[in-house]
Amino acid sequence: MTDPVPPFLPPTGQEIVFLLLGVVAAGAALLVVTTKHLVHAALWLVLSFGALAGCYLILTAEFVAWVQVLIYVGAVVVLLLFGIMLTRAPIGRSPDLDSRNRVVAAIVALATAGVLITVVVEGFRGAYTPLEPGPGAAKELGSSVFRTWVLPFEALSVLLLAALIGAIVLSRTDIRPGAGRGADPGGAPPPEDGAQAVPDRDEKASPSLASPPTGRSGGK
Amino acid sequence: MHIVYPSVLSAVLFSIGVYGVLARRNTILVLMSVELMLNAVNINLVAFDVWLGDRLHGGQVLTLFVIVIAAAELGVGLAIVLAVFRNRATVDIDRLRDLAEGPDEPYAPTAPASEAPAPRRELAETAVRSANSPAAQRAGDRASTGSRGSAGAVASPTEATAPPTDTVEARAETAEPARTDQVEGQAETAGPEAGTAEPVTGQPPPGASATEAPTTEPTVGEPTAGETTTEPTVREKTAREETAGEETAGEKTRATGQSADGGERVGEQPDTRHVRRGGKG
Repeated sequence: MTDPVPPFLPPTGQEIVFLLLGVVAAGAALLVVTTKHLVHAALWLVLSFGALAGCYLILTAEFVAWVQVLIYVGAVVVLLLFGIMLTRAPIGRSPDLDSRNRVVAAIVALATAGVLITVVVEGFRGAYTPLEPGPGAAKELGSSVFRTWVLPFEALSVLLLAALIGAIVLSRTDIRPGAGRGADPGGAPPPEDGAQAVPDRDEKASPSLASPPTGRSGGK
Repeated sequence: MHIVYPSVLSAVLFSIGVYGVLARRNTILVLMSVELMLNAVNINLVAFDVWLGDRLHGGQVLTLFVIVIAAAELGVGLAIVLAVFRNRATVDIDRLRDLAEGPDEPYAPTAPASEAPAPRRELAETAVRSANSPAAQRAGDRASTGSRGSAGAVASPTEATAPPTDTVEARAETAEPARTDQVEGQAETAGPEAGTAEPVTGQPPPGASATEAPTTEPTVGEPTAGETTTEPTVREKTAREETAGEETAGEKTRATGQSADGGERVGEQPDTRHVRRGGKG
């Protein structure tokens, strides 16, 4: 950090690769938020996250890069695709993906970008670090996690467990608020499945949605 | 590597995420945009960890934690989205407006029912509302609210004919220029007590009040009973009721020295007098 900062203009090879990956990541992210195809948005997200993993690799954060690939590209995007499927999103162009306040959102985003980029460039223009491999490897990071950061790690495990249980409780349809009161005398019996929960909505969505939970509960 | 590069990339990604969160209607696309923003944070964390050469690897470990938290958030978020879709058959954020307050609120008819248990607040609000409306409407409002609220039930029939009396004049004039805040509170808080006051005030003859009312602005029908009731309530409730009266503070100041019932008819004193006289006559 105290070394004299090399000039920007002949960029090193690392910087060139980083910039290319950054352009790919930003372009893919822009497509994520502008595309008309819902499924394509998730697939562009894969590209964006993959390019970001490449950026992590160049920044010598190998372990983070592979975690990024495993969790974001592997799990999060698949989860999003499942969400898209389960909410019966239309395959193909859907014209109403953008709300009416698009222009305002663009203005806000441009203002945010302007402020952030200005501040960051002003603040870290002279920041330079040579990239040396090693400190981001799995060995270093693992010992760091399990020595220094073991308490946050354990707390995070509890958080993950809570999120897991919460997601299960939220998405199960055979657990209902009325189920606990069902034992009360005179209480209305809880609805059997999701079909009763959506009496006035479109009928083609609810029975097929409700069928997996009933099948699951029947299996138990 | 210059740290500016990852920082600028992070700023760009974050802004794209902001745009996505604000501009998209599908909830899953909003979740994707949130993930973009989290990734922007991650790349900043990694870059600054590398730059500072942290021996504890705080930045990279925090990046891992953020990734884990993002996964947990996405799991719970998608579960919520699916639950919403199961109940509403839509994940369109613009159509999930059950918690919204606004002109296009579909549950407007339930508003009066919710007002009923809190007659004081309601009367204060009606006072604020009625400051701009014609006096006849105001009388109607108060009649309706009085019939709903417990305190105002007695008041509603007599209020329209409540005559102004001379006793209040002095107090009203002194009050008008000086204590705008208290006057606000008085004007609003007068409502609940007005119910008790007005049956008394209804008795004085209309003729005497009619002569004075047009000449002196602040003297609007101030029965003695109303005055006595309002004085303590001002102290009690100015702080509580302030917020409701802020918008109409100007009108309230005009309406200063009004009585319990006069305070509610904040604003156009001539109108109220006409109405009262009309009611009497």
